[in-house]
Amino acid sequence: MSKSYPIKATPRVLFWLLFSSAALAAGPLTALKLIHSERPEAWIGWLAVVIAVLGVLPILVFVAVAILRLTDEWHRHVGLVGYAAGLSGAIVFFVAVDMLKSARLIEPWSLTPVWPWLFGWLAAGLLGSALWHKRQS
Amino acid sequence: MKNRLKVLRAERNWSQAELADRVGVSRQAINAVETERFDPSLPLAMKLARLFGAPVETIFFLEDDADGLPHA
Repeated sequence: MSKSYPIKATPRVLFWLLFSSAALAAGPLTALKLIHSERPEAWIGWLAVVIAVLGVLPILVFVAVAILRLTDEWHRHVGLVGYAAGLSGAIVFFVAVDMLKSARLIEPWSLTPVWPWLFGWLAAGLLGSALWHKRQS
Repeated sequence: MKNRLKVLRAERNWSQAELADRVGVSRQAINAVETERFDPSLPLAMKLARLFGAPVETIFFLEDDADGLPHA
């Protein structure tokens, strides 16, 4: 019998999952629309940065809390390693994409929206960690 | 860190799953501790020590103390 109880699907948890997913989808897109608006003033640029950052944070916190609430310490360890790997991959990826955009090797709108990439990197990190640790056992 | 978990478990004829159930963790956690890929938390180490009726330091020890006895 498994002794690792992941976060339970209570209404509150489902609300936070939906809210953080929606924020991740809407935040960066809203920020881009603000930047590319007809009157791009400086404060609108700053507002766009704040909206984009606030949009990404909830899902990162949600996934981290879900991992930390696993009761089994081995599963928690595997989850945290995967989370760190996924987040590192995402950071490297976004830096590389940013450089590609700055160097005008790709279009400024390429690889947007951001959310599928962030989800993808986190999922790949968690899955990769699970497989890697399983292979070692 | 080294440990004698596998020996102690074998002495009692318990499977990894059985031991895991007794201390409230997953079988994978016991496997990871036994194969020394993962150092258990202090609460888990103390639960194991209580279950086997032995001091923690005789179950878990540093590589320098390979004889299983803590050095003064």
